[in-house]
Amino acid sequence: MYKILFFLSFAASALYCSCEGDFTREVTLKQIEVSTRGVVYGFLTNTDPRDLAFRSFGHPVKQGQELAANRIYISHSSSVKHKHQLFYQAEVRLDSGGSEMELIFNNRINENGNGGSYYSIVDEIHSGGVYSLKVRFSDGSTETSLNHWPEVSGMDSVPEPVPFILEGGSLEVSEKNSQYLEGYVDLKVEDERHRQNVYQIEISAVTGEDTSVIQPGDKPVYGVIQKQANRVESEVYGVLPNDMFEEINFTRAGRKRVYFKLDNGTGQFNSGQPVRILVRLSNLSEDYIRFLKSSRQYTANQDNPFTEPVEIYSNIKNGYGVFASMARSYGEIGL
Amino acid sequence: MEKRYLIIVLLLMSLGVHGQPVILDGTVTESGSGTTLIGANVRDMGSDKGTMTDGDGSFSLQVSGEEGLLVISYVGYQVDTVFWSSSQDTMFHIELVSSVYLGEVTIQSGRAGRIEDESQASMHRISMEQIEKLPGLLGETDVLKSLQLMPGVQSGTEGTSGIFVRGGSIDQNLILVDGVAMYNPSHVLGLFSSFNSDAIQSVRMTKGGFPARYGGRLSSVVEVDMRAGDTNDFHGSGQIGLISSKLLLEGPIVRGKSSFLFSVRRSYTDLIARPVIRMTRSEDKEQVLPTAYFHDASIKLTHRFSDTDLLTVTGYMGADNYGVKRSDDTETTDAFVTWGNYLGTLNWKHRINPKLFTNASVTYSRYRLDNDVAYSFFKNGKEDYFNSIYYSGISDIGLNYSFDFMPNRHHSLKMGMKWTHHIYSPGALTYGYELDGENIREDYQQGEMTSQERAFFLEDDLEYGNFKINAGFHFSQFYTDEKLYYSFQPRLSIRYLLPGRWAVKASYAQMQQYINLLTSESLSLPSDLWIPSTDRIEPQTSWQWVVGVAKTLWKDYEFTLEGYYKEMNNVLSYQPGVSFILDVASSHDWQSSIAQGRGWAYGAEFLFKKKYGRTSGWVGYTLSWNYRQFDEINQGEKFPFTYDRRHDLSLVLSHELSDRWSVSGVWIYGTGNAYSVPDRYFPAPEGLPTEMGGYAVYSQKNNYRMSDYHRLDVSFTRTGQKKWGSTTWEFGAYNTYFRKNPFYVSQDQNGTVKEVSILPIIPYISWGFKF
Repeated sequence: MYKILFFLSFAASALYCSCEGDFTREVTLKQIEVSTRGVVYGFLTNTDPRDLAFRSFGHPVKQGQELAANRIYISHSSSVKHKHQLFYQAEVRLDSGGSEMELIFNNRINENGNGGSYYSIVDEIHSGGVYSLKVRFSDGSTETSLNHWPEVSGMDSVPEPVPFILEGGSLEVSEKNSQYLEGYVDLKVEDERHRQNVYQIEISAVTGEDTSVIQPGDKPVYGVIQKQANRVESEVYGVLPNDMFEEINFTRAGRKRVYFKLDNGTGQFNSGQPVRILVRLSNLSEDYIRFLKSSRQYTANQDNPFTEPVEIYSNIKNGYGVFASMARSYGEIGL
Repeated sequence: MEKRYLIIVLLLMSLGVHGQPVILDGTVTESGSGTTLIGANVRDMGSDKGTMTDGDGSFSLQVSGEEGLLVISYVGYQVDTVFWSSSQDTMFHIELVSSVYLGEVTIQSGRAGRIEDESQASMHRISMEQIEKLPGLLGETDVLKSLQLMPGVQSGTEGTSGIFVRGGSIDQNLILVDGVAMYNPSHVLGLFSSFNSDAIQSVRMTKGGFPARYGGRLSSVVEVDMRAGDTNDFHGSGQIGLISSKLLLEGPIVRGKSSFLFSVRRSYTDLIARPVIRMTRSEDKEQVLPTAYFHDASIKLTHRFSDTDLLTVTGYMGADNYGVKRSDDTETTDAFVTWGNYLGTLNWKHRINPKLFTNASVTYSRYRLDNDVAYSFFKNGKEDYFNSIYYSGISDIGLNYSFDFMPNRHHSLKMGMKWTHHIYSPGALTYGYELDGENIREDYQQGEMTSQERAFFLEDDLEYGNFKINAGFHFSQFYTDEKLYYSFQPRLSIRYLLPGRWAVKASYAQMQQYINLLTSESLSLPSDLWIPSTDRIEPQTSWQWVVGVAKTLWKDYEFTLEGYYKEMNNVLSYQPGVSFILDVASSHDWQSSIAQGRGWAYGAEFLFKKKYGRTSGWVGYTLSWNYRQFDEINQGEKFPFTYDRRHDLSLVLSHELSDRWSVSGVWIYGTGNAYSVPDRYFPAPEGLPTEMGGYAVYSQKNNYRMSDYHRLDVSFTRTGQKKWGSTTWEFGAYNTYFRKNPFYVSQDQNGTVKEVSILPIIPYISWGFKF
């Protein structure tokens, strides 16, 4: 009996002592030398005045915001403990067909030293063209002293735009909430060869001159009135979250019905007003697709322990980021 | 009382007159109980030929001459010697006396059962006597944890029973219980194995040089033989511990002919927790009813119709149940998860003549997981609810038929065929909710899949002079989803005996695996899915070379040193970013979530073991490298496998302090598992879909190592003899010096890494009895 009591006392003490404090231990990892690498983002596409219908200015949006095309951003990698938001100047050369293309640097460094400085591509981007990029670190590119990083490069070929027609559609005020417009458009890609890739669809609604602003979809984008020549006649009311789809999503005849919802966040939508629906279809290059999928997966998996680690796709040699392209085609229909 | 040790020096090499070959066969059983002894060594000293008893305690040995001396030995039993003199085939029924009953006399034999006599390399036989001496978690003797102490065998993470053998993954181990495959051999997320050790006769593990009769897995075969009941008297045993208790009953059905053995085990943490919770919450309106237990039960029936026919029936069921029921005035929650194995086999062994035996069996195995959640919320007279049902599993029905044939004294042939019908339920999720008037129901039924697996094998054990060879092939076919796979797998093991009885062993084996386990490398859960090879998922394949030396030293010590090299193809992993819930459980195209690649494993293993005596134990050390490569992962570059443990060391020691007291200790050391830590950050411009302003990524997959793992387990056992039987008190501690071994790793946004451990020192006490 005494032996049992002794053991139980010992066991209780041992358990108490071992449970003192928590069960975690902070470890200092042996830092493996992680060299600084260059980071490049470049997105090339053909342009059109109707792009204004899909762009927001001055107001950041988490998803659904137009990723500014024909810009090149330069930065560098760092350790996880030293995050930054610095984009800056460097020695950049963009070539197409052996000819160097003109770039203009836009300085956007703010007082904190962060910012989204970028290079604009002046020349037009042509479908079928092969574009190659080389970037070298440049001393004195910013006021902050930075580690040198080795030259990085990337290359991509711009796809062909995919012609499509809009066969019909529907737009109604939502029965549940008159604040919303719900509808669809029927899109058709006639040539079967044009259905063998991955596409991104964006929809914007344009109405007559009206001072109320409709918040599109779940991710509000404030439209800004832009006076345009030709095709976009009046106010921009916003853009839906991007939707990527591929060949399997088409019918055999090449049709696809795209549903959308528009949200009027600031006032009641006038159901009597005619609405013109603008559709932009982007034919994404292989590199663009892989990068977009991996970066969206990365965001979706944050704080979820039941997922595998995400690897952000990159086609930048010796660095990170992506240099990718797409080709856009447009359609519109009045509803 | 003075101990006497009687050592029999065998001077009988002159025995054996060369003449016509004769067959010596029979059975080896335990004296008194009639329990068959599996793996007993039988050697004829005249011809120096030996063999081991099979799963039914039977042996057959073809020798030359007209007389000789059979020496029969088995760990824990007195060695028996039988003089034979006959020109005709002779059958023996040998009964060995347990050394426990001998009291003060221990007899050792230096010649029987030596490791250098076996052609098979890369094999471990562990007796239950040795396993029961080892300290276990909370006093539970654990078969799989004992195997983890062998070189070349690693545990996964802290506390788990999963085994990783020579660089293989957890699904590459074929775990057979009386010949039936068990798919999830552990309880409580791997803290305990599914086997009640009292009901087990023996355990054998093969890690390389696989004989042709084995197939279907790449890395190991673990054979667990259930014990047959005593055919003469009724016996029982039991144990009451801090977390679980077990009971075993055995006895004759027809005395001398048939027997039964029944065992059952259950844990009871919930039974203890429930009244405590009721007491502490008696004032609350909230009611909480937890469920947390595991249980298992097995039964084995044997009937010996005659000297030539033996029928056995084995059944096993085991399950884990965890959940909670909670209710108050406004909410009710009923959530539980349960998983379990169900096994059954009917086996008939028939001796056609002394040279020819047959074995026929029908097998059934099923593993299933169920996860149900129901939640409801009452407000303003309305009820909102959410419920989900998820289940997955695999079932097998099998037929096996094999022959053992000895045409002459140089050859021993094994030939057989197998057929298995597999049924898979790779995840079916249904959920529904009603919230604010919105009613949603989603159904993600994966649909059952089936496959047929057939195999044919032929192997020959040859013995010529100092050469002993096991050669053969295993041919298999797998049909699923309108896709047929087949494979011809050569197998070869050679042993050459050098002067001084040093054995040099070499082996080569090709293996193919059609059934795969989808599991996250960082966390293995019962919800991991067993899936077949399909037209999009090719079978895993491997080939392995092994070279080694082995010798028995100073009669009681075994020394082995082996080197191995293994290549694997079509090994599986999840694609980067895959979510089990979104991409597998609730997807109609789970196959697109899988990547297949290659694996390499190589290393050296050292084992020095003392099997007999008051002090016994072993030292096992492994030096190994283990890599994987997938086109979709780590930019297609090779990376260290998660369980790439460079050094692995086990020190095991048991000592009998006196007739009543014994002590045992185990010290384990291993370098930490590999894991991926984001060590690089790069920013993203506005417009990209990341909320963090950038991306934190790892420069290379599995770029860091967890802290080294080591722990010490000790136990003390006191045995007391009673008139009706015996009792034991056992107490000890798991992780005696409080080592915080990492279970998993987390990293915060600042990049600080924390290792989380789950098992501190765990003292235990248990009381057992035998009658």
